[in-house]
Amino acid sequence: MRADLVVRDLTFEYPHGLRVLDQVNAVFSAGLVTAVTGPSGRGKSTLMYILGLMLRPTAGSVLLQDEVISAGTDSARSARRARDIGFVFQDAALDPSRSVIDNVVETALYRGESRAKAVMRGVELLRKFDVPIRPGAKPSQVSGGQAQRIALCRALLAEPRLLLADEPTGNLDHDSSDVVIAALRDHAATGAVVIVVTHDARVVDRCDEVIQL
Amino acid sequence: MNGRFRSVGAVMREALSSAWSQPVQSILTFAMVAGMCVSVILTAGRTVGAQERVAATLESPAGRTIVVRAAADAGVTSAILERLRYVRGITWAGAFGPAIDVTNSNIPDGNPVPLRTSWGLETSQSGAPFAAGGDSLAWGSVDALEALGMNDHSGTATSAAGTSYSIQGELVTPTYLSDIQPLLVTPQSSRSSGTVAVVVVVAKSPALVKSLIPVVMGLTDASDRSKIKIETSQALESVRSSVNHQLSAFGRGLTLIIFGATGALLAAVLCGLVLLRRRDFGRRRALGASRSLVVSLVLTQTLFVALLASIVGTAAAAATLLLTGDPLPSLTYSIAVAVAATVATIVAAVPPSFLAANRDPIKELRVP
Repeated sequence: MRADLVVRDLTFEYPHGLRVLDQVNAVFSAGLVTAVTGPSGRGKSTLMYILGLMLRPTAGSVLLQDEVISAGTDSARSARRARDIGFVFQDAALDPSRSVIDNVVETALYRGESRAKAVMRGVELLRKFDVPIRPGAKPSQVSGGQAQRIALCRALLAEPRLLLADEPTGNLDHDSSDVVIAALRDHAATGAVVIVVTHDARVVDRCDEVIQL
Repeated sequence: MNGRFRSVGAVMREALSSAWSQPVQSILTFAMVAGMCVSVILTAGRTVGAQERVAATLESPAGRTIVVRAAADAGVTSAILERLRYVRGITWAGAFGPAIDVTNSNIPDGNPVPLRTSWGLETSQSGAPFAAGGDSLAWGSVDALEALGMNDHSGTATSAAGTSYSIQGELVTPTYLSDIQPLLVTPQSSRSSGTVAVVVVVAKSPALVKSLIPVVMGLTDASDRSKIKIETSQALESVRSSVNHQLSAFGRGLTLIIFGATGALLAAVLCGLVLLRRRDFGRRRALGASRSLVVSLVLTQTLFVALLASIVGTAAAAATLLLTGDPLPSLTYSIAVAVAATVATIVAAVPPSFLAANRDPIKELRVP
């Protein structure tokens, strides 16, 4: 199996001097779901933000299919985030003022993709994840589990090569958690790299690989 | 190129959707921009309207007239009109002979009205509805005809020497002939020549009056210049310049103060609104929106609201002025105010847009 995401000598130090990651080396395999776990304050979220190109490492590099992605201008990193990386945040992070479908297709704008096509794909995903689609429905009108599934649809819209999930089941009941984990596994099966930062032992048990920080 | 158009279209669509889905921000921005336009139009705009009205009055022919009065023995003749034809900056010139009193032939003890020979009134510029008709045919202004007691605008007038004049009708007198009212004239052919007592010259602009005085004076060809008196509207030109200067400075100052104060207030309010939406912008940045895209979204959203507010605000202010009967500024001025308000709003939105583009997604999305 080809190693798709590689972290080399990754070090991160906050401006006030706190070093949270020190010479971390890891390989995240394509086609597998990798759990990143460990006690609080060990840099799990920081690692996710670096892999998601929202933070620049102090030293070291991140390679996706042998290409260094951790360097580059802010604009290039934004474009890669929109194109290649999907995010699922702990609290879904939906825009409460916009409709469900608007939330799902939000990233199409950032990729310069046709909204019409994105809406078609978004509707498909919402159906797949059993989210009732009512025209104009707002995120505030759906349950927490449905909100996380909407966030998942948004993350999967561009079929990203790298899917990052930060405590995606933190606020969910077991049934909703199962739906989310199954979706992450399905996406990994397409050949993508899927990384889940979690404290949840049930989630860790269902991941293919585990990295302990 | 298609991709770029599609991208611009997508940004516009997203900005419109954002404006629609954030009514508080949109209404607040709308109210401030519309208020800015209303304030400018109702204060500086009304001043400009008054200024334009005053200027129009002062720039009317009556405000740029030179009247030459010559004694009968000054030697001024109707030939002056031919010489004045070659002078630039003159809109119209006419000459009038010495006045002789006439009365209504049917009312021997009636009011005497001065009758003059005239040259130049037959031109289209004068607005006179007749052509030269000979020494015995006369036309009179409403004032003159009323003084003669000719309510039906026809009849016969007789001079003290016993000469009769057939009154043909009403003479529509332009405002620049008000100095020689009541006016009863016997129009003369331009080929004929005669002694002139009054020459009226209308300059193209009030500013030209001063420089035309010596020219007109020189062209009178008078044998004795002490027998010539010049009356001008030069004082009105001074008033016009003064009014223009004072009102323009006042209007400009007021407009700048309103735009500056409202712009600064808008910038502060928009910054506050961006901070209220910081999680929204943090999410957008995390999901791949570039800084330039976030700036474009904020500016475009503000542009749409500002454009609508400028149009509505300007129209509402203009309607108010119309209803109250106050001076209304020109359409050009109103459009300029709407455009300037929109531009000022966009400028005010630049700092908030950069504030939005620089939200840290990690900080904004972190769950405690």
